[in-house]
Amino acid sequence: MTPSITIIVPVYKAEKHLQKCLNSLINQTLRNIEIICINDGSPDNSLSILKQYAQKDSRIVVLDQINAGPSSARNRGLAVASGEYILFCDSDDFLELDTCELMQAAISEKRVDMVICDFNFIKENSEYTRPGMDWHRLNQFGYYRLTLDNMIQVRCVLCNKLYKSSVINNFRIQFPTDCGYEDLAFIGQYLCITESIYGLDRKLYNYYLHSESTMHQAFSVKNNLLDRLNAEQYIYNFLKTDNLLSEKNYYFFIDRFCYSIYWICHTFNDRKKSYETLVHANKILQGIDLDLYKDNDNTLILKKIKQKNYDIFLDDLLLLLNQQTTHKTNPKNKIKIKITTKIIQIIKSYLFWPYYIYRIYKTK
Amino acid sequence: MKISIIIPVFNAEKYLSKCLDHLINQSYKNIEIICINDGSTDNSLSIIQEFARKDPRILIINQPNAGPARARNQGLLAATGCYIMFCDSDDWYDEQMCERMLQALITRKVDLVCCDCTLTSDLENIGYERGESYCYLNQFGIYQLTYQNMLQVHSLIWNKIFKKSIIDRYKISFPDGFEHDDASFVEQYISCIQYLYGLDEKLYYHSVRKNSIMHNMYGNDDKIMQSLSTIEYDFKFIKNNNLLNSRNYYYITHLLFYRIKWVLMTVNLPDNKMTALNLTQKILIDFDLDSYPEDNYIDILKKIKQKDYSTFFEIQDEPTSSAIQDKSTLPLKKNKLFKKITAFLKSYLLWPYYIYKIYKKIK
Repeated sequence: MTPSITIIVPVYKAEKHLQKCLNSLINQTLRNIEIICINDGSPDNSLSILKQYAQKDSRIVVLDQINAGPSSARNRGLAVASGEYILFCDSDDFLELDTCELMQAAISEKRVDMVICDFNFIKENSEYTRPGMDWHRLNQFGYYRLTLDNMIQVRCVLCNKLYKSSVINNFRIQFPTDCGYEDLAFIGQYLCITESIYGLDRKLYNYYLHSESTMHQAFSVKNNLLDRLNAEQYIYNFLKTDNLLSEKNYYFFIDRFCYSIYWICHTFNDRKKSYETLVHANKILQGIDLDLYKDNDNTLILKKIKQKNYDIFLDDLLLLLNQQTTHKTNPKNKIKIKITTKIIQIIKSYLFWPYYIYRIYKTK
Repeated sequence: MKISIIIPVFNAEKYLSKCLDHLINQSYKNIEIICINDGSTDNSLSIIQEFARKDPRILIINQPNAGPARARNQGLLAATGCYIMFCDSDDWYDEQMCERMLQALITRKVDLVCCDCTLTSDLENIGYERGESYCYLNQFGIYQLTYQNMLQVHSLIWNKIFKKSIIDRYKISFPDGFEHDDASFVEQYISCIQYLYGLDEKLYYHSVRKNSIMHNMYGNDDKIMQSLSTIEYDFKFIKNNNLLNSRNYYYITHLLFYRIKWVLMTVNLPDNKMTALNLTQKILIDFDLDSYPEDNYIDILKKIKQKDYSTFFEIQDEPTSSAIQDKSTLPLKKNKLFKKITAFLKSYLLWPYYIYKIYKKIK
């Protein structure tokens, strides 16, 4: 009998938390599942733990490979999966016992293409804070048809979602193996093909926050941020080759690409690095047709970047980012900063006005 | 063309005779009078039985006390007429009511007729108290139902005549266990039809009493919240009957908007406001708010669906009096001249700064 849900678990150096994870999977209230664990060349005891569990429970399939990264591991899991629906689980997290049952019930009863659930965040130590995790919380409750507005709001976390394997197989959706942000790429591809989602307002995935998790590493090692644009490029190539560049998908991609640029620059918070980001974006944009549909604000911005017109963009961008960051700071400080910068500008102008006239004369 | 008149009866011995008397003396004779005795503990049953002995058109249904919704649903199941009307046991019909309503329904070729009423009471100053003005007819003549005029239809069932074929086809019923069940019945019914007629005649006599349901509602938060539960019933009805066309979509969403707004204004305990919003959010969970192009109200409902209640509280706090003047309505001419003078003075002082700005822009 075909399993209802295949749970794919990439495993790397996970001996500390692996047993808790696997216990939560084999004790799911929904029994008709398949658990595919891919050992990504772990140097510790992970593989022997997996083999132990596989001996006790025939629903567990263990695959072994030389270390190639979580994307490659998950792709292998997808190739082997036989379930009707796919769920991903990280080896240091664990599920609630009724996760599979509830999500499978939702996806079949509500007749949608994807079900999203909420998280429990479990902290390694109570002082640990990770900025931005709250943003990943469930923000869409119930049934949503995938319009452009709704697609953009879907958070790109891989593991709290139930996917249809028929969709993944028919369109050969894969994780990109040569860049980070593979969850963004996967979900972006998936949303462009499907029509409806359902937000299940239950905390069914237990996300373990600790300093060694790959997410945290990606966050702190800032030169990986540009991978986000590579992930968006991966989505574009997928849409192009599969002839999926409908108006909705096109604007979805454009909106996401712009947002990624803003987000990367905001995270760098540095003009030089932002400049490098734009150079990278420019390279990617050479392969993207920006005249496929009518222009909107975002396509105009991307066109400027494509033409290496960075400066005006950078000024606007940094102004926008400054406004956004100072929004959170003390309003009194904000006014002080504004006033002092203006005074400095006025004094400067009194000293240098002939020079400015000369430069204006030169350009005209 | 028989009309079935459904009357739920609960401990109505004081007024029941007058009600039944006016029914058996209707000018239109082809009627059946279905009395559902809802477990009355007084003489109501014997009064009905006495009338039934004299007039074979009266049907009696007995049930253990279960509320007017279930009583009326029983009445609908038992009815054999082509048309349905309702009557409350403490009100009464004008002698010509059945005749006039049926005549309007047939000659005007509509699916619903509403008439006006006369309010009577032993209380003083009735008519425009909370709830009572709602009884007066506000739509006169023929209407093709758009979502805007559907929102105007009052939720009373006793001033209307319905077609049984429509009730049966769409399985329209009273939601059990809530107040405002009659509102839900009307909301379901009008979602299924195209035309109504407002008959400008005071054919129904409604008596207003101190312990009437409307009086009991204000002040009782539970009962106010039930008006949201009944609209949930409407959503399910429209979905189950595949009636989500453009008109009904805007009707049901706007109805929900006005309903939640009313509930937020009327509940007494602040905690219940949050409960009401959460209940609204649950109603919207399985509903596709993107079925048709959005407008301001639907935009707010979308926010509620995402548990963003902020906008709604803003709307609530808006001052309702339009007497508050906008500050920017200074005499316009004065404003312009003032602006010109300040700009002129500014330029004398700040021209190097402007040059700096131009330089920056061009660079």
